[in-house]
Amino acid sequence: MDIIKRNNVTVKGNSQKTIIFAHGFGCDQNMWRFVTPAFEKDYKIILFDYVGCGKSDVTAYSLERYSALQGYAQDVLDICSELQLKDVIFVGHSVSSMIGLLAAIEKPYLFSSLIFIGPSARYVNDTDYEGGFSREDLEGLMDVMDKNYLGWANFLAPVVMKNEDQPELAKELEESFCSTDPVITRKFAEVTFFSDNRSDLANIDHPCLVLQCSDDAIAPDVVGEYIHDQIKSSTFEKMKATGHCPHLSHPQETIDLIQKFLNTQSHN
Amino acid sequence: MRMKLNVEKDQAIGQSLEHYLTVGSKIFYQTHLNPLIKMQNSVREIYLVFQGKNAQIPVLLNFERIQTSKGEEIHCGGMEISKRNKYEKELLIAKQAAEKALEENAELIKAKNELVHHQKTLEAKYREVKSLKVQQQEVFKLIAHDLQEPLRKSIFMTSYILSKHNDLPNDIVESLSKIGSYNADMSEMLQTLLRFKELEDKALVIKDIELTQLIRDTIIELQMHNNQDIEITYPLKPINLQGDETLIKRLFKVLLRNSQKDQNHENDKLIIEILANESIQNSYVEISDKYHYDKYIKITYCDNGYGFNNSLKKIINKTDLFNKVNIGLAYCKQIIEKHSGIMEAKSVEGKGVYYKILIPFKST
Repeated sequence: MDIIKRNNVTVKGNSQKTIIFAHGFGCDQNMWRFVTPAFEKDYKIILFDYVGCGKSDVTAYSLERYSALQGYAQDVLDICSELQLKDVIFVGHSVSSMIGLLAAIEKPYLFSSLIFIGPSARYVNDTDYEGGFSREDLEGLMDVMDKNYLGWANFLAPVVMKNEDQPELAKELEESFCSTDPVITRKFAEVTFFSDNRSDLANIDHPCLVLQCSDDAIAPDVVGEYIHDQIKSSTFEKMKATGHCPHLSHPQETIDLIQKFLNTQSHN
Repeated sequence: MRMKLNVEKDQAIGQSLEHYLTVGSKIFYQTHLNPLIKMQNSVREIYLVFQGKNAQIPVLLNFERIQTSKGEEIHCGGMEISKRNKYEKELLIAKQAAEKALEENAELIKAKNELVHHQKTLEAKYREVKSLKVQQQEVFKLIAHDLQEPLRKSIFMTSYILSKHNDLPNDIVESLSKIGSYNADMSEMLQTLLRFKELEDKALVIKDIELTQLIRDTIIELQMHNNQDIEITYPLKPINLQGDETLIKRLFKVLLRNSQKDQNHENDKLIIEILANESIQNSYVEISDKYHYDKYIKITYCDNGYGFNNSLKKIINKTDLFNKVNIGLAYCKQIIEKHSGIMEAKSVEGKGVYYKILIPFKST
C-alpha cells in the first residue's frame, strides 16, 4: 500500500521539526493554504487528505475501517510511520482534533504537542453535557449532505464517460476543492457528529492548544472550554475570528496564536 | 420569502444568511459552503434549508464573491424548490434503496469468497495445531513425571551427602548447597510450566471485576503496600471489566513480584506505575485489512527496575532469576490471551519494563 499516494501526502520544507496539518470534515488539505506559508521556513510541513476526501485514493476506503474515528487516526499514524516522523506537532481542525488526540493516545511517543482548532469531544447533547446539537439537527445535516452534489460529477464522470485514456475530458469537469464522494462524505459526517471522545480527554498529557472561535455554531464556547478543563496540559485561546474555519477567514490570527504556543513550547 | 421567514425588511438588513438556516444547513454552511466561497469565489447550485415560520423552506442558491471599490461582496441568488424537493427526496430514497441492495449483494459475494478462503486456511491450521498439541502433551507428560522424579532424587541425594558427612571441606559444602538450590529452582520452574500448560484447557470463571480494588488487594497480599522502599501508583477511580478474577490477580502477582525481584538497587526506590483506562481498538489483530471496533480496558505497567531484556552478562550473572521471570511472563501473556486480550512487552536495559495489556471490556 502506497501511503503517500493513498492519502495524497504533500511534504514542504525540510527543517527538522515537523508539523502535520489535518483537515476537518468538509473539503481537504487546500483549507490550509493561507496558513502553511508562514511555517514553511522553520518547519517541515505535512499535508494530506483522509481516505475518501480530496484527492485521496478512494479505492482504499473501507466502510469498516472508517466506521470510527480510530480508522482516521490510523491514517495519521500510517503517514508518520511511512515518513518516519517523530516529535510531530499535530494541528487538527474540527473533527481532526479528536482524530489527533486518538493517534497521540495510541502512539504517544510520535507527537510532541497538539493544536486543536474548533474542537469538540461530542456534538450531540447528553445529560449534563451540551454539545450543541440534537439528533434531529443532525438528520437535517444528512438531508443537506444528500442533496448537494459538490463535485459529484467528478466521481461519476470517469465511470460514465469511460475516458481514462483521455484525461483532458475529465479536466473539463468543474474543479472543486471540496469534491467529495457522496457516500463516503455522508459516512464521515455520521462518524464525526455521532462520535463521543469525552472519556479520552483525560488520557493525554502532551501540551495542547485549544483555539476557540467566537460565534462558532459547530463548536460553541462551552464545548471548547470543556476540552480545556479535561486536558490538564492544555492552553486555551479565545479567538477574535468568528465561524468555524479561522484558518480560512482569519489566517493571520490563527498563525500568530499557533506561533505563540510553539514559542512557549520551545522555551520549556 | 420574508413572510415565510416571518421577518421584517429592516430586521433582515445586516443579518447574516446563516442566521435563517436550519441547524443542519448551518453546519453545511460552515464546513463546506463558506470554505468554497473563500477558495473558489463562485459556488453554484447549493441546496440549503431555511427555518420558516411554519415550515422549512428548501432553496437552491448560487454564490459569487466580488471585489468592489467598497471591499468584498458576496452576491447570492436562487429560488425556493419545495415541490421539486419532494420529488427529489423520493428519487433519492429509491436510489439509496437500489444502492443498498447492490452493495449488500457485492458484500455478500465478497464475504462468501473470503469465507471459503478462510475455511481452507483454517482447516490447514487446525490440522497443524492438532498434531502440535498431541506432541506437546507428550512432552509435558514427560516433564511432569519423568523430569521431576530424577530432580527430586538429586535434591534428596545432595542433602543426604551434606547431612551424612560433617567433615567435608567448606568449598565442597558450598558447591553442594548451590547444586541443591539450582535443583529446587528448576523444580519450581517446572511447576510454573505445568501451571502454564494447565491453563490451556482451563475454562475461565468470568464475572464482573473491579480492577482498582483487585490491584489494591494484590499489593496488600504481597505486603508491598507499606514498604517505604516501594512506591506503587495505580488508578484511583473504579474500573469495571469482566474476566477471571483469580487469573487476573495471579497476573498482577507475577508482574509485581518480578518488579521486586528485578529491582535496580542503584535507585533509591522501586517505582511501579500502573495505568488503566477505557480504549476503543480494532479487535482484528492477526487478519490485516479487517476492522471491527470494540471497547477494551488498556492497562500499562512500568517500573524502574533492570528490565528483563538485560545484556548477556547480566543474564548469566543471574541465570536462575532470568528464566523464572520469563516463564512467569509467558504465563501472564497466556492469561491475557485466554481473555481474548493482547499483551505486549517492551524493556529498555536499565530503565525497567513496560507492558501494555488490552482486555476486552465484555468477555465473550
